[in-house]
Amino acid sequence: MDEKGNKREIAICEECAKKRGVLESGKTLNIEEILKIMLKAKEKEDKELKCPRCLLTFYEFKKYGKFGCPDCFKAFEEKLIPFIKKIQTTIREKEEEVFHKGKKVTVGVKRSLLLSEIKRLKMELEKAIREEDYEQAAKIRDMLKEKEEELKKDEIG
Amino acid sequence: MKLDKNLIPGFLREIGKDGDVCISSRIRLARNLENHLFLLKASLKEQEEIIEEIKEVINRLNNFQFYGEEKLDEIFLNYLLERYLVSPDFVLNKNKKGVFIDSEEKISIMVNEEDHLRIQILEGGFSLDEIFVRINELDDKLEKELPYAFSEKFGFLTACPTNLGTGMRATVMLHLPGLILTNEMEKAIKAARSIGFLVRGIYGEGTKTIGSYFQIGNQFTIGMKEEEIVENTKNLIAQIVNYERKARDYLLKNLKNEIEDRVWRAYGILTNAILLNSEEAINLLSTLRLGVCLGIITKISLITINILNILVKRANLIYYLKKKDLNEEERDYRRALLVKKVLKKTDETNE
Ligand SMILES: [Zn+2]
Ligand SMILES: [Zn+2]
Repeated sequence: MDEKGNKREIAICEECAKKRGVLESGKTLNIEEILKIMLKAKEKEDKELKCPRCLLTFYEFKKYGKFGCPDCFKAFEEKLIPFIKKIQTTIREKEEEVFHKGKKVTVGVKRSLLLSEIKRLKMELEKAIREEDYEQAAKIRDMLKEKEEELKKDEIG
Repeated sequence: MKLDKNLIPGFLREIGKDGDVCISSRIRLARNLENHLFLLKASLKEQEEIIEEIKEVINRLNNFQFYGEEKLDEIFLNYLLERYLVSPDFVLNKNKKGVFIDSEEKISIMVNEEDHLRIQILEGGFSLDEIFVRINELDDKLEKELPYAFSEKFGFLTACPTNLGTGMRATVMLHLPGLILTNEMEKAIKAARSIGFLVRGIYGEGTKTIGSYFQIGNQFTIGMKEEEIVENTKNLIAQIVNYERKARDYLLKNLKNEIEDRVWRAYGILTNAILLNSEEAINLLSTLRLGVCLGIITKISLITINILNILVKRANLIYYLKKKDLNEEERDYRRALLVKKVLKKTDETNE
């Protein structure tokens, strides 16, 4: 017990703290050390949370203040929601979370990706024909067909 | 000497609504492509691919001029910054980048600034409504061809969490000498910040204020509709415009001699100085602008002041004079000469 008398309230016992090597035997815990332990644990958690596509960790996101790719949002979603509420409103005590209410994209992401892929392939096809690389052109034509079929299926579905 | 107003960007060639206080309005949208990593993670090669993909679409849909790496040297980048067509971040970052600009110099689309796309439209005066309609149309057109990164929860996915959701910032460039001279500006800034608005210097984020010019725009981008952002920004700006006009009235009623003295001294220096640096020129032109708005000076138009405000800046002066090799003192001399010629001539002939 220290002079403030609140040491026993904290949910980390001395046994565990000793195991982690934070506390040398014979000493008792103090508030600063406990905060340090908790911070370390949080840091470890943030370093382990990683976006599978761009490999940015949540720890790095907090360090740079920037995302690495569109998939980061799914990877970090849970931690992101309170974070966004904190930085994106002055009314922080408000109960509800802060989500997008504005305009939406009209073309689905999958569809627009297909469209841009088809466009790219068409340009490559033209190039291959221009350069008289007919083997390559045939390959591209097959890929193009595949993508266009996928697009058609997407339209029906 | 009368200068052609086509020397400056389209949005500064006319004095729009509430032009005594509102210099110009701007809306910008931040957008990214689903099929590429953001700039924090994209390699230089990927950054080049991003430019090529966007170029293919925009060149097909619009008649904009594209400026790529080979054109964007230090002076040209600053020339565009001084014309408000690119941001400080775009000038400084080391990405592979490019910018599309329309022939009127009211629209610019930066590629690989902080996001893959930064689309902006500017207009003279207080004109957020008109801009909003036009930027929405442009954005819809691009969205049909470019795979925008979007999520139902977080809206348009942006590199920085401060732009998430709408990715939209609506800003008005204000001239607020009245609030400065009556010591009311601090109060106005505090009030604006407390309700979620950003008050920044002349080129935006992290830039200093000169000549009593301020950019004020929405801070928050998620949790409300675009229309609400525009509406809220308009309401705040209307209040500040009112506040500024009241301050000017007060000055004219209670400190008439002091204000007239200040204005004519500025005029005196601008029409007689042998050397002028750009910051001094902008500060004096700001006082002159106040004098024109208050009716103290009647023979100089606000458009003339707009033109000079751009041409006195370093890179724009270099482009105007077509002399890249002038040193600082030579530039200060040529700047003073230009200002003198323009203001004196306007004085004699613009009856
Ligand atoms: Zn334990
Ligand atoms: Zn990622």
